[in-house]
Amino acid sequence: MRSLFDWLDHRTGYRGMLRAVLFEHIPGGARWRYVWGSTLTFAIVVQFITGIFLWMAYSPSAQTAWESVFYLQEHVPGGWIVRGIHHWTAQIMVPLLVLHLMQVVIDGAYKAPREVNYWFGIALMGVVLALSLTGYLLPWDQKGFWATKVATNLLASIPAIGPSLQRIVIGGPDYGHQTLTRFFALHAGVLPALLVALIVGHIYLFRRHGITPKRPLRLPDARFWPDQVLKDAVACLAVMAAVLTLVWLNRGAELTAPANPADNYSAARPDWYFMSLFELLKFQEYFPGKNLVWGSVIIPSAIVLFLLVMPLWSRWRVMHGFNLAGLWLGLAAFCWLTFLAMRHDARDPHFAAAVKQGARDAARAKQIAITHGIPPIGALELLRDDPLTQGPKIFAAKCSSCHSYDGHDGLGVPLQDKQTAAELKGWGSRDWLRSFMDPEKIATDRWWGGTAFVHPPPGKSKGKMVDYVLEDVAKFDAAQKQQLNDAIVALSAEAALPAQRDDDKHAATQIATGRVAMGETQLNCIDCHSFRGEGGGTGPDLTGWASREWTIGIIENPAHKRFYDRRNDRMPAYGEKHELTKRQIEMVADWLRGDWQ
Amino acid sequence: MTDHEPTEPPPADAPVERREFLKGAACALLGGACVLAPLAAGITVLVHPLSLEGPPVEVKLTTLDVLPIGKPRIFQVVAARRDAWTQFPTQAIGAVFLLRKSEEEIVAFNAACPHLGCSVEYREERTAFYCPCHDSSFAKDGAVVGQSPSLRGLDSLVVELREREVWVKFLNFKTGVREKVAVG
Repeated sequence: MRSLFDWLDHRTGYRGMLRAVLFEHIPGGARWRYVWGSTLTFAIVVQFITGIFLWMAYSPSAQTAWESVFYLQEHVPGGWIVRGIHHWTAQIMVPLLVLHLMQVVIDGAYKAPREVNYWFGIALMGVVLALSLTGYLLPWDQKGFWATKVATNLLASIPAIGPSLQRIVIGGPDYGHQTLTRFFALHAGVLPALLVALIVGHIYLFRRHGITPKRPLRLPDARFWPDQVLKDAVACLAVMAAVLTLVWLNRGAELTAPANPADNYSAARPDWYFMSLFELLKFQEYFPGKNLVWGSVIIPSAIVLFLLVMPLWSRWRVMHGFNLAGLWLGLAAFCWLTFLAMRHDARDPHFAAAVKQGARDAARAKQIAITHGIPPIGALELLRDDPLTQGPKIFAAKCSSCHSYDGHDGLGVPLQDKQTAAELKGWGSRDWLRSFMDPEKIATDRWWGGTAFVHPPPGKSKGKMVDYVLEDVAKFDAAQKQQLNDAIVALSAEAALPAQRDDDKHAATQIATGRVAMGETQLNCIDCHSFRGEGGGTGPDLTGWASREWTIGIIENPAHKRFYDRRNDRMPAYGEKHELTKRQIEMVADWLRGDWQ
Repeated sequence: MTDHEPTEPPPADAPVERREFLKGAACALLGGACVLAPLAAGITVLVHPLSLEGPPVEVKLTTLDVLPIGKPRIFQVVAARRDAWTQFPTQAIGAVFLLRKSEEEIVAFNAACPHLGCSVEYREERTAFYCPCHDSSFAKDGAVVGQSPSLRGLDSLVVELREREVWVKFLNFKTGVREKVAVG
């Protein structure tokens, strides 16, 4: 065995190299404050290991990127852990970078003759941040897509070359396959190669000049192996433990809904360490009159420039102090701007609603993908045709200026305008009818309080239904109340709601009684409404009330004879006027009725 | 470093050596522990294909009326297929030769050569199946002919006549071995 190693050493000189690497001299002994560079190297090694496995699972195109990440997360054992480790290690690298930089500057390790090595470090920091930025897009989910869109639009704000640069980076006039292939080549090829080259240079120069010991030296000198290595290994293990804890607590890394260029995702934010730059983009708020280029180019460039020139004047004690003060100030500004950005989001109900909606879309996309598989055209299509996803969005855009859904706009945002038409959560259900027929409720804003049926324009009278509930129903005795309840069960059964299917089946007798009650003198429904071929008048036809077909019909044209006719209050004919497509109307109706798979 | 005279590490004696060894062992142990999780999870992802199975599919290939007696005809096998994340409603997944031997007797062969999986052709002039990759030849009944590199004859498939429709249970088989072993 020994002769084999001798043979190898004779040809490679590996023993000498190993000695040089392992037995570096550490004045003043091993210290915990020297571990940060090693933890960063370790983090990069972890990124290479997990990155290569991710590479084997990832497919960079607009129809397969989200899909392949989804498959890795949901169907491949261990996939979520690999992706989780990659994601959280990237997150943890940022504080490690800051710690390393601060330690180097505080200990004076950036001063002559170590300036070039320090610049290598700054370049490495840039490469690591570029890796974060390019990696953020690769899952092609809503979060990555919209954040990257902002980042690449910023490129366009660079004077003169910006627009061309942006087009080269995204691979065309718009985002798509070519954006992903380019970002992937950068993320998995160009940047890692650059990273390795810079690390080799960084470590070579570090070894050339030796460690800059923290004064005063407290212990006898030691060697890198095993004293410092042991401390480094403990620190690396702590880093991995933190990463694994984060992976476990977050069940891996987030995958939001598939990127949808047509659906603005207002919860899109960059990763937390870019939030200060994000806040800086609101530069106009702080310095009115200055344009975007200040926040996107000038200030960030000035910070980088300051970092680069710091060592040149550092041999004067006062300037070293100035550098340190600048760094602490920069760090404080970083924290403060990050805090401002996060506080702004925390106070914004729209942001909270967008985050919730994003989470719902993501969960829904995964659920449909798991049950139905993903079509060749891609996962985005799953959501585009899904009532549960599109229903509330269409409702918020078209219906919520008058109606509410559980008190909000369908997406969880409080209503902007005063509610002037009925609440629609539970549409068609027994509960909905019970609230509507309640004398205490019908004239409130939540129901018909804001309609012309309660507050008619001058010269017109109140709606008959309002009078009926407020005056007749309010005086019902116990027997009539029972009849009303039967009628409500019968009418609600017309809706044939999926959620009520079993209840309706078990209430067959009550439904039959209720149908009769609707025609009897005590309730008199068919005085105004037609119902199953009987009666009729000025009220909407109640046959098939709130069924899919009835609901679609009233959205298409509420002023149709079958519905409100000339008494229609203000509701537009969304179908007749082509405000919504047939499919959009179907999706709102299906969502309101809880009719989806 | 100029203001500090390097002090020599203490001379090695037995307790110090033991301590150094323990430190080294601890380093190796901790270092291994550091990369254990990413490596283990990564390798689990890497070997995932071993647990995947392609179920056999039953497909209708043609109707009896278009099959001439005594002449092999090739048909594409088109079926629904799940390829990792994508659910394809229809996709070509292989090819099958059908040979109608008599009025109601049909045999089916997977068109993949049992040698190394190339596509076999039927050559009219030789009245034999022929693999253009490595010159394997097979008789009309699928048996190996002459000095073929293939270790076994063409892989027959189960055929079923439903009314006048020809249905086949499509399967692939391990190549390069004497036994016919289905690949699940």
